Amino acid sequence: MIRFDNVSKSYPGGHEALRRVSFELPRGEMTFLTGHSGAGKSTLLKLIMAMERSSRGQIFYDGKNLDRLGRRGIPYHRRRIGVVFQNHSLLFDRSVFENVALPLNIAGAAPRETARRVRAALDKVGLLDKETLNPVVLSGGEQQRVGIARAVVHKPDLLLADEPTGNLDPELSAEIMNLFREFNSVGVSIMVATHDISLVRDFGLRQIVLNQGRITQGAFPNESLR
Amino acid sequence: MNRRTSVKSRFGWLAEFSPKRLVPWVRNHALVARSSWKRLLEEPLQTALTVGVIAIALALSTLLFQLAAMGGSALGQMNNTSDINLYFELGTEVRSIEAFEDMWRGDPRVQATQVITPEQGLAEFESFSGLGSILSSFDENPLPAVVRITPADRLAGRAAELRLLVQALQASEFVETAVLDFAWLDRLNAVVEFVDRLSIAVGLLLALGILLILGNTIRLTIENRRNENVVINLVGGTDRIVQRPLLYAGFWYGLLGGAVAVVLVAIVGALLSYPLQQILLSYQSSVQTLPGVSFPVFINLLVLGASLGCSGAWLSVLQHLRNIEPT
Ligand SMILES: Nc1ncnc2c1ncn2[C@@H]1O[C@H](COP(=O)(O)OP(=O)(O)O)[C@@H](O)[C@H]1O
Ligand SMILES: [Mg+2]
Repeated sequence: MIRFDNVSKSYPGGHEALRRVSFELPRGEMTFLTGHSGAGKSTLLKLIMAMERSSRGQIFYDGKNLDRLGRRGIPYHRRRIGVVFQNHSLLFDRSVFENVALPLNIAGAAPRETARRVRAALDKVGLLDKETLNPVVLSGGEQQRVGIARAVVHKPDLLLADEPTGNLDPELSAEIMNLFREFNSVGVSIMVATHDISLVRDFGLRQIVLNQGRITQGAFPNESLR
Repeated sequence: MNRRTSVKSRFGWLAEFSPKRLVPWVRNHALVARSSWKRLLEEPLQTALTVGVIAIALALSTLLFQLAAMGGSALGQMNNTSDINLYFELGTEVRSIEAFEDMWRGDPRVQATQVITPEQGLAEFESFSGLGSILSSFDENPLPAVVRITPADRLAGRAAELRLLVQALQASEFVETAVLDFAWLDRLNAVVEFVDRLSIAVGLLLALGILLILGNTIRLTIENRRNENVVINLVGGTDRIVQRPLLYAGFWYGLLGGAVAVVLVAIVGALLSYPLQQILLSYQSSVQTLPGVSFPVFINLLVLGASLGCSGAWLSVLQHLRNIEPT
């Protein structure tokens, strides 16, 4: 589903956040992206979202080169992906329902279909009874779950999560991870970036390890071939 | 293969209008139109201020335009009433005067002619002044024959052409003097011309003011909604989707401003109508178009307000909405 081919990313100022990164993410897999803080995890996710452009190398999404994606193509590319990014959290000027409905409203879904899907997503994350509330009154864990509902409400092929358990206690973190596993079990490809090694160990899933912008482990699904 | 892709990319925007995208597009418009209306109402003070400024600017320029138009049409009528009086040499034969009248009646610059014989003039003077006895003490009628020429309508307000006509009349045989009060006309013309241009200049300045006010309001809105716009962008909102609520906000501000301007124009028009009628009556003018709200004015104000609103928002969006890419 995603293939990185010798991708490097330098930020203006010369800092090289990713160095000659190559990996392949098979469809339907759930993968952890780990590494120390500053290793380049967020950068890698942003490249997939076309929020940043690679400096060298090529990225393929479903066989299509992201470099060829024009400015007009980017929004439609993003509509196929769901994201849970820490710093782009919820909008506090509207209800939980309206937050989750945002991707559907943008895609112009029919109102009835929107309501049905929003409720299904909120049901999945166990917040169906909170749809009319303002997210401000929710706890951190609940807010994170609203964010996840928003990320999956439009049935994306791929779910990207950047430190989704960042400031949650271990119990809530496990809850969130179980949610991801459920989505994965119905066929959504998932990539979770985290520096929390214990989480990864508990789940025993495939992982890609980044160190100073280089992949040190798990680049290809079938490593014996390499 | 290149041909296909280049055609596709050149006309890619057409895809926006394909049925597959048209329905979602209409839905998004409906949704955004409603939600931006609600948002305006959620901030009543900000909305009232912006709408008020737009309404005052629109009402002011409308009233000024209407006053200028009224002055122009009143002047047109006064010009019509300003006939040219030709005083003939004493003792000019009636035949010559009639020949003269026949000649000028066919001139395209002349609407009507009227001969006032010395006898008629005398009678008029007597009844008008009550001084008949003084004149009757003369052996002969001391009054000259007068021909009153009414210039054609199209000469109304055209001082230069009127002047030419008067010169031509003056040059005719037997005509002693031709009288038309140019100075008075010129002055009035100048005033109307001034008010006319003033109303255009003030109208343009006020329109500019509306654009600036709206631009600033929308800029503040953009700053307030930065986070929202970043999120929209992140979940696949196109530039247009990000811009749409802002353009609708401008549209609603402008439309509301136009609606309030209608009320203002109606109120001020009602207040002005009595004194204006008095002034016009004193000039024996029968101008009907007093300032106020007619159906076309109503429609014009709404359309003008809404389009200025959209343009102001658009300018602001162009200027301030570059940096919303999520980071
Ligand atoms: N917008 C940016 N401009 C410049 N440098 C950046 C930017 N974003 C990230 N970096 C740098 O790139 C490196 C990798 O960052 P990041 O991808 O956020 O790492 P991680 O998510 O693994 O903590 C860091 O050294 C960071 O300082
Ligand atoms: Mg990070």
